[in-house]
Amino acid sequence: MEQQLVTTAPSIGDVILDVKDLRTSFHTRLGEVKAVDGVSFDLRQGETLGIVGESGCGKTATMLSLMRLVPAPQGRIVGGSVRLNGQELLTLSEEDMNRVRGGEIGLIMQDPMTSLDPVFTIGSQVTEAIKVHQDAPRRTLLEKALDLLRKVRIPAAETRVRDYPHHMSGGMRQRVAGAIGMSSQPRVLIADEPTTSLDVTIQAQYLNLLKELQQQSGVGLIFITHDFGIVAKMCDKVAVMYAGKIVEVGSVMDIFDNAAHPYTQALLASVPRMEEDVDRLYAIEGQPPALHNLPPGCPFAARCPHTMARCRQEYPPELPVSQGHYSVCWKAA
Amino acid sequence: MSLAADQTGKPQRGEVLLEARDLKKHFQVTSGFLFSRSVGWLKAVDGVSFQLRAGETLGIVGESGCGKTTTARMVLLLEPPTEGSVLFRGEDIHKANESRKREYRTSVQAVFQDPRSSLNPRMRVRDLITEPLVVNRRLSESELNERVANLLENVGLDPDHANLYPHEFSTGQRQRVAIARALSVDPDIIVLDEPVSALDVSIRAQIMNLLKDLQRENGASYLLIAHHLATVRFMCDWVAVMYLGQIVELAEKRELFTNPMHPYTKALMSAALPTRPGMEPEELILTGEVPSPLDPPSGCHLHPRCPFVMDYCAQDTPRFREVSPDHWVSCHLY
Repeated sequence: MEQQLVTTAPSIGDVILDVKDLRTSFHTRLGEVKAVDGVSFDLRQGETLGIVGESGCGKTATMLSLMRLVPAPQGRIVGGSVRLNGQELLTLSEEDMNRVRGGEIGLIMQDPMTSLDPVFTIGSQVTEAIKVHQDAPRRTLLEKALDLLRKVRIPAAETRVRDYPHHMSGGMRQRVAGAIGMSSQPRVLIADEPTTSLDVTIQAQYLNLLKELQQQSGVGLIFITHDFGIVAKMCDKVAVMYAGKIVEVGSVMDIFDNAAHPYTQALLASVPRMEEDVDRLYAIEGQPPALHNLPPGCPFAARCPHTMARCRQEYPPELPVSQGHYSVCWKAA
Repeated sequence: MSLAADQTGKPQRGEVLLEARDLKKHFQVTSGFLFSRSVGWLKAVDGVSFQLRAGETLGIVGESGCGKTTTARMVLLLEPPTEGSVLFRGEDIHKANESRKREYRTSVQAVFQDPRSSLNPRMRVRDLITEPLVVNRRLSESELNERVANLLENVGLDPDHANLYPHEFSTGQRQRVAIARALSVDPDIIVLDEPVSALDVSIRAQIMNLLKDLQRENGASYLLIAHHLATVRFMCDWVAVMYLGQIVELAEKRELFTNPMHPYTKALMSAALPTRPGMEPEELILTGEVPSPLDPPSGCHLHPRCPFVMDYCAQDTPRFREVSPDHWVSCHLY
């Protein structure tokens, strides 16, 4: 286990991001939806955290809350705290928060075709991102942009800066999005399903590149994903989300070798493997619950193979499994 | 009744149902508006041959643009081939007359990636499922209703769902409706084009199990188009790997996964995400990106990216040949 941590991130340092009891609600026609419901985690320098879950579990809403980008007025952060290097982000003025976004916290979105502007060249979009956080003459900015593009291995960066996003392949576009995300030398880089739109071989290249950039800069990475393969390849620590709540947190080894929450166990068992033949996959019955109408108790109880009477009445507390590993499940009690 | 069933009965397991022979699809690419001129040919599929046997699943894997979906479209009669043929029980189906083609369309059904776009949002589930039945067979109203109830039950839905519209279902349930629709005419072959990639992890397992169970019950053959290797290993009996319009390797599933030969197959496998942490496969990462199919490299299409490239790979096109029983590779290394 030690060795694994050493190979993926050579220097895991102090806590840079500390999230406590974060709550975000959306008002919908069907009622209030608690998309993020008391989420707590921390991220250290040089560490990679994976936030895993299925669609609608609140992983993207968590990311939007960290950046304070929850769409108003229907969405609202209703409580909790997000501290970046000890500074509370939720009470910052909008102006100061703008400096944090794309400054100390960088963001890579899922689809670079929508996060890049189709009417500006690659060069102007990267220089713009640098200019927001540091003022310098045009020539210097362009030099820096070129440096960044070379760092993310865009071949022939000198000529590519004049290209528009549609001139580039999906993999190249995602590299440019990565360059913009890293442009301000952020402390934290959030990647929201960054490789879902990429092909397998391009995905491998891109993930290796992110790892390298992290080793050079010591940035803390948050990977938002539904894919345990990405978690296995990239992450040091994992938080599993279900129905707006974190149900299990542990090191990547804890989660893969010793998952304690039945939902985590089921997710891991339902993935087919490339190295063995199986006849049937374990399948979780039913669907994730509707968030506007959650049953009392544990929201997974209806699909859980280990449900007890207590599960349907009371929401379970965080129960420790081992150092740094806890599960929100009565079974662990 | 489909003609195949009338004349010769249901196909026997192991019989070659469908065969692609040197199948090619070239699209002309033009530029300019009024006086458009041809700037070249995009060889989307360039000489693909395979066999699909009754009751078995053949998977076609490859990255986007490799021609796997175009191949499926030719099998579904949605696209005429430029050259080559699709043989259904020995008959060239693209050259058959209209009534034979209609029968073929009953015997071969399809399930697509995104059930939101493949199911008509204005039709009730009952009508969606019976549409292929009504087109192809004469059944009474009560027979239809019974058939719908049976089909819905077979795919794990409630028969009461028959009067709902597609938007009233979750994505996973919609994919079940699409499967029920494909099954309604009791097809010999179902083409599955990325059937689970739009679904959530926990739902994927449900649908993959369902497809396998249904195959065991009714013996249909599947032609599975996918990019995810673990899905292919779980679902298939045979696997064909495509790169730039050609099949580079074809073998029985277990043989392909335990003894991959073509450098591209090996690269795909080593690029696949690990099943557990610390399990990094031997690094065989291809440099660069897939070249444009408008201007594919000479010789072996993989040679500019291949780590085992030899002098003559750039000149000689490797032959697709059987290097060991039931294991076909096109590479100069073998």
